[in-house]
Amino acid sequence: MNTEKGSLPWALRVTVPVAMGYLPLGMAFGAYSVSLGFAPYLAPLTALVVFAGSIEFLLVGFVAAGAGLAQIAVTTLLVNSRHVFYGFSYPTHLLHSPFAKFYGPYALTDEAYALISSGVHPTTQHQLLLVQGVSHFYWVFGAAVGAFAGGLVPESVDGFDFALTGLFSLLFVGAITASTQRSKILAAALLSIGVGLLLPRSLFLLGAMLCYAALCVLMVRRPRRTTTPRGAGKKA
Amino acid sequence: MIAAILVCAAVTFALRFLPMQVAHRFRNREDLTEFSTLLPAGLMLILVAYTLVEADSGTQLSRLVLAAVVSVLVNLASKNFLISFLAGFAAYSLAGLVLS
Repeated sequence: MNTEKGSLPWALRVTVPVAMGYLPLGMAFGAYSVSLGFAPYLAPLTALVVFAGSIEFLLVGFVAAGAGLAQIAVTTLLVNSRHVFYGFSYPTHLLHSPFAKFYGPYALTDEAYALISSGVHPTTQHQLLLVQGVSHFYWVFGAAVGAFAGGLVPESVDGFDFALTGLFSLLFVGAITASTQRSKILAAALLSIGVGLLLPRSLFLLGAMLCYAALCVLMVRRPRRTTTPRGAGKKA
Repeated sequence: MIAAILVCAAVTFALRFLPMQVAHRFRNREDLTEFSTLLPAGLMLILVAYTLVEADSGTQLSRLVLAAVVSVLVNLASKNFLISFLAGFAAYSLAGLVLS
């Protein structure tokens, strides 16, 4: 708590939950990629270039199975389409340099978005990119360790499975307590989850997020017609 | 493999980059600002649900739910992210010893 916002120790501290998810998951990805017959360097390379988690597992599986580029493009489009919603509450106004304008969206994973929008609230370009860069490093490093030293991770250590659930749960609590429209958000999210559960499992995430985004549009529209609420839940 | 990586990366980047341009262009519109403040909390809850839907077994699901509840309760009491996270982590591991 005493490290200055924007320093490397600060970034390392706020990204602990991301590290606990990315390092083991990255290692699993590296080990999986090698087990499919790919050269060890390809796992960290994929992690560096794509940086999108679950799609990478699918990607190496596809390539190993000889799938075409069109299939890879379409699957990526579907699996990662949820990222479309993240751009709307990502602090683009903090991005100034050309590199930042590229890297900010480039490294915007679920976890990075979660941290930025609901936990850390960076106020400078430097803080923003540091959080994303450190997270990116964990992922690439995990993939490299997994690829070159796969099999060293004992099967019995599974506590890391909780990392993502825990991260998202706590960030949810942070975001909902900061909001002024709690019951509406909660109702809309639960309804969306319900809708998602009706869909095939592979479409759960996309379906629920689409539904939630649509409900948010409705929530924004309706009060505007009757009254004009000023600054409801407004923050940069 | 390299071509596949590049295709995958390009599609992913476009999905993250283009909405940002749209949002940035219209960032003075009040309704879009409000829309963007409604999104995070709900998306987080959906991501929580997603990690639960993806659980391998009923046992793992109960461990995840238990640990999430523990960490949220600790968070409400302590207001400390890291302590709450570690409490959930401990609860998950302990529940694993008991339940499996």
